[in-house]
Amino acid sequence: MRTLEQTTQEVLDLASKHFHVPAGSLAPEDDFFKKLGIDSLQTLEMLSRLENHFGIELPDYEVQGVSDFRTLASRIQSRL
Amino acid sequence: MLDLSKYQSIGAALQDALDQFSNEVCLIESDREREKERLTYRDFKARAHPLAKALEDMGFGVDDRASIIMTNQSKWLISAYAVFFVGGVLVPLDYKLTPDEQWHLLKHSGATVLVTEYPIWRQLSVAEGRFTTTNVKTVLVTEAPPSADLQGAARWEEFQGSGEPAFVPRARRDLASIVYSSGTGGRPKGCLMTHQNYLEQCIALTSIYRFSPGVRYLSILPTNHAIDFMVGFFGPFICGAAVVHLRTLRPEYVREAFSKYKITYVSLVPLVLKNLQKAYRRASTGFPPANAKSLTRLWP
Repeated sequence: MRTLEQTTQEVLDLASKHFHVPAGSLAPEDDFFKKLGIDSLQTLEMLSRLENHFGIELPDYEVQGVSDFRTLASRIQSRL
Repeated sequence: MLDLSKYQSIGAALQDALDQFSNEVCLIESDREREKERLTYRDFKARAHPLAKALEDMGFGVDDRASIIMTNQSKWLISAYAVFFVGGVLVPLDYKLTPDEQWHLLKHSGATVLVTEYPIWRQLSVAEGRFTTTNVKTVLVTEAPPSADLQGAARWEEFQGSGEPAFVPRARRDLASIVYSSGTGGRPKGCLMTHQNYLEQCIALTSIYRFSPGVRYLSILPTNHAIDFMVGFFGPFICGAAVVHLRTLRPEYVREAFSKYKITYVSLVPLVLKNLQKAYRRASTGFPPANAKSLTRLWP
């Protein structure tokens, strides 16, 4: 079982890889809309990648209003 | 299509549509690969009338206001019809607003009933605005887990009256809904929409969207917006067409829905269209020729 810290790190790694951002440039508290320069639909694409990676389903409503990596990771963690 | 010139209200037109097209499919609801629900107009009526009866039994009626804060789905439309059936005024609010913004508009609108989804209620129920919005007396929550503490709300699925509700006629000049602007130019403004406004809009819009039984509309824009309310609910319904709802608006599922459900019409904003185009282009590179061909048809 992953810890929240591990899940958060994996989310950061996947986001940096998917959006071609240098590894290590993202932090858990970052607003991913601002930091990655993405819109809400691109965020949904990222969620699909995260679902595949973690083997979970994350309903859209679970991430409604979520904008930072740490909260996103906690929502994933609750479904692992 | 019903002849809307003969009707006085949204509720009256919908009431006739449910009977006239009773065997036609009116709603399809899909969640990822799974089809969650497929309702005929007869099914829709069977779901809406017990809700209307329960509203009637609690004393909700003429000019009373009921708000809906939900993502696009069948229960949105069923709830709206029930409100119109008993003579109420609909207050559709944006589910993407913050809980305090939603409470502010609930207070401003004077809504006494709120219909919402469990994930939204989880946030609304603990927001500060709840304690100053005393006008909302009844909250109905959909799809709540069996063990959930609803914080004073009732389960939508269990809020049913027995027996047939009495239809409450409204006149064209009567208020049908209060639609709030987004607030990008300041505080949101509530637009007072009469039944006449909707009936005339519908006549205009259905000259562009040629709905009829068998035609399918993909409802993506939020139903609280005027355009989806008209062409993703009222318009298709008074023509016997079907509305398709997707519970997951991931580009890959939206893309698949077009062919899977043989969509005839969709209304989009440019951002969604651009993303769909990107998704199609990406998918087409790894797809066999048949899929690449469908991309070309959509974006030549």
